[in-house]
Amino acid sequence: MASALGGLKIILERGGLLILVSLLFFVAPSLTPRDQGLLVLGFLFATMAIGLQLVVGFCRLFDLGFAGFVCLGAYTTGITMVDWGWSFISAILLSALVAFLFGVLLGLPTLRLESDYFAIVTFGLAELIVMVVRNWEAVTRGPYGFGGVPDPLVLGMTISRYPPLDYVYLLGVVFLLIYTGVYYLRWSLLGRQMLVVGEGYAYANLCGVDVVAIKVSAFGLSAAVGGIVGSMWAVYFKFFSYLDFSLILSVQVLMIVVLAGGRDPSFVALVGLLLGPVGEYLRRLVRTSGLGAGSWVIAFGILLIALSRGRFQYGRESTDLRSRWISGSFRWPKSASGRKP
Amino acid sequence: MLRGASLRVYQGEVVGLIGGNGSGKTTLLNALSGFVEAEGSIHLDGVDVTGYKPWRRVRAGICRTVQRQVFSTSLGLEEVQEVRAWCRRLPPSEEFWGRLQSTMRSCLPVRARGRDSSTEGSVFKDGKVRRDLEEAFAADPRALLLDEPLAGEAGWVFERLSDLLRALRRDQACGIVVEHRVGLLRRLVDRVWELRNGVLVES
Repeated sequence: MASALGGLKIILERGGLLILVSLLFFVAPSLTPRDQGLLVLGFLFATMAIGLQLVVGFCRLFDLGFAGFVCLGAYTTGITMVDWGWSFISAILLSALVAFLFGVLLGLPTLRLESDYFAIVTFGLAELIVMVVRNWEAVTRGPYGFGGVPDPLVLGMTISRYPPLDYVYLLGVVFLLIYTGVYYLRWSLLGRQMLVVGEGYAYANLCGVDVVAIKVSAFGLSAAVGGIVGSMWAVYFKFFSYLDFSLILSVQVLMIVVLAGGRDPSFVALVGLLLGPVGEYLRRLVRTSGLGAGSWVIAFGILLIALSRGRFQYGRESTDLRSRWISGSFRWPKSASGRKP
Repeated sequence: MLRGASLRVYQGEVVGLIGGNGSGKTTLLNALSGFVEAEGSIHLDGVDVTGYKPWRRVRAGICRTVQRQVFSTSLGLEEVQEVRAWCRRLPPSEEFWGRLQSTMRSCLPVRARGRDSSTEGSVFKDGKVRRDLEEAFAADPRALLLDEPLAGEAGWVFERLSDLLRALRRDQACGIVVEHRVGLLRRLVDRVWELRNGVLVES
């Protein structure tokens, strides 16, 4: 089991994820609308996961506030498209920018804290964003939720909601773009510095890495990805409220990153693709079974515990294969350009 | 416990530091590398680095090792060396990499790819690894602070260490080596200071 999974990871490295996504694109038209919806959710969560990975996986910071940036992106897109009549592309770019700025501004004073406090503070930041959204009725429609987001126009084509096939492709493409970005980041100087920060404050200082600057960069970039996902959220779900972006969403994404080991974008994306829809599916299942809307969290928790027990057994193995693969070092010439060829 | 220590180390010179347990040797290294606040001033190559955080001092050229090796498990040795080299100069030249490789090859001749990245790096006898030294050298140190590099081992580390220090002198950098085995230390370094009652005394 362990070596099979390790082998799978190696395959994923070599572009296997791209093959998988292409397969999904190919298969998508023949799926039922409901399954297409699950695929959309998969891409959504996979993108969120690789976004959060920058902070939780690379820098090893316990970030509980990712949902706040998704919320920011969703409302920015909603307001610009509905109230200001902007196009989708402009809206998504603004959402990314706004989220990035918030990430950097909020991160600067807080990222100096130690990891235990960091978790609380990030959760607090997310709650801050959500509370502002909830109460600023004039702009965000407050607790009544935001609706009426129009179908986006991309490259001259209207992306229609039913069936969700169009969104499968849209979100899939965005996912691939962000995945490529994260992958190149991992092998860039900035990414390596993030990994060094993840090894600990002392070690990072020994290596000459400006810990605070790197943490803020990671936080800002991950916030930007959150903003982009929020933008997708707005146009896909068409109606959303502050309740959608609660701690539970943050925890869902966090769990995906933690389960997948954090350091490998392909694996994190894969786990996100799989577990994203599972969480939502469980939520619907439990609600229809009459156990109460919140109890799906228990089922999700049990599932995660079951999965994580398996993970600890092969966790060390997969790290082993991963670092063995790195230390093979046939990938970088000694040109010291800091970039993976 | 340090009460007033002042020392001057010249280019191309390696200084030894001895003292009893708890005399403050590691504390002095911590103060020099920035991990501990200290009164007074520190200058490197004429630059006042007193207010610098530890990572900035590394960027200025003060590198250190620690008593218990720390290394990364997610990054391979070459990746860390890239990070360290970039921290010192932007960008590291081909010439620099060539020099680093030749230094490492001549001083630490046996390399092994371990099972995981924690054992990667140059291997001394009995399969032991001194990755911290390789990482420190990749940062092109102007002042290398070594905390107990012999690490209680028998003299087989000694050969390699003396080669490395020779390379350090050749590069017109300086070094401070903390050790408690005085005999071996005297053969490695040019001068020896002793920390006695919180002050430095030439020995």
